[in-house]
Amino acid sequence: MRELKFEDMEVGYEIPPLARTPSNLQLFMFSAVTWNCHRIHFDADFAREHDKLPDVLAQRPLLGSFLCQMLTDWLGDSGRIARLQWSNRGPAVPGDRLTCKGRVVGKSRTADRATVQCEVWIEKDGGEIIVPGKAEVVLTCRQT
Amino acid sequence: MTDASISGAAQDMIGKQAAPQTCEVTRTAIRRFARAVGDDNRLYIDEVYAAGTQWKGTVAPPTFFFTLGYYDDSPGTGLREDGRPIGTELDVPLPVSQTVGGASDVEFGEPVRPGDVITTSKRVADVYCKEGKSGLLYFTVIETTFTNQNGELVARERATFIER
Repeated sequence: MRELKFEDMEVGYEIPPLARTPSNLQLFMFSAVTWNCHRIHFDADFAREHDKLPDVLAQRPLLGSFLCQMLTDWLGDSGRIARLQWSNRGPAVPGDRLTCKGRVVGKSRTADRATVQCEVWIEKDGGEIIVPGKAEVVLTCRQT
Repeated sequence: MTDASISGAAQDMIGKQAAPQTCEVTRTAIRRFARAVGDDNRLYIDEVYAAGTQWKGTVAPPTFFFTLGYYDDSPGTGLREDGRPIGTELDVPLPVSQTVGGASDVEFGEPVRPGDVITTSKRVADVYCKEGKSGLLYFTVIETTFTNQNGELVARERATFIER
């Protein structure tokens, strides 16, 4: 299994991106497993008329879960996520080709924890950032 | 911040805590969540593989807590027009009709494992409003803390709901 170490992380390092295109079916399944009955996620007519959205809206927790998957795919067995922040700046709807991206922006080390700070985001085709965010991940060190 | 636009009844909700709820985590629930996200990481479904990782057994995806006590108190009927439940303990009375966005800030603790019993505690952390491009925007911050049967923190989310 590939290993990442704290010492190898440099500011500017780019996290391998994760591409996702949510579908109607995915939004439906995600609402079901999170017991989310909010109509804007499953009724397109309602979403357009009542909330002036372009279509049913991808859930905030689903978008956060995509960012999380980008991080866990990258970390593998070498680390864990300590904190994740994200905000929905623009709507994501079924068929949108989304890409989760991120880069290392800082590192810090205390006696018991080596943390890497990252900027993370989701962009649409064309580069519009609809979900900006931040993450802190904990990695193991080569020397302790 | 224009707090004069927040009614006394809404301001009184700040700090209000809902009755905690508990939920048992099953392998099925973990598998379904991972599939709904589209995450095929074997860590969430393959016990043999997971035993050889840092987690020493299957765990749930980090954001699995979203399946616990999100609208968990919602019945299937008698909902508002927009589908959300009426009269939950933490309803903040605001003059709004549309959701315009949201944000999350999540601190992760211990992983969730099959068989865990997770307690969910929710409170209204803040209510405020700001002038937006097309009128007032109302912000409600709900802090939800998830702990396991050993009293360990699993996750703490501060979710901000933006409405107008």
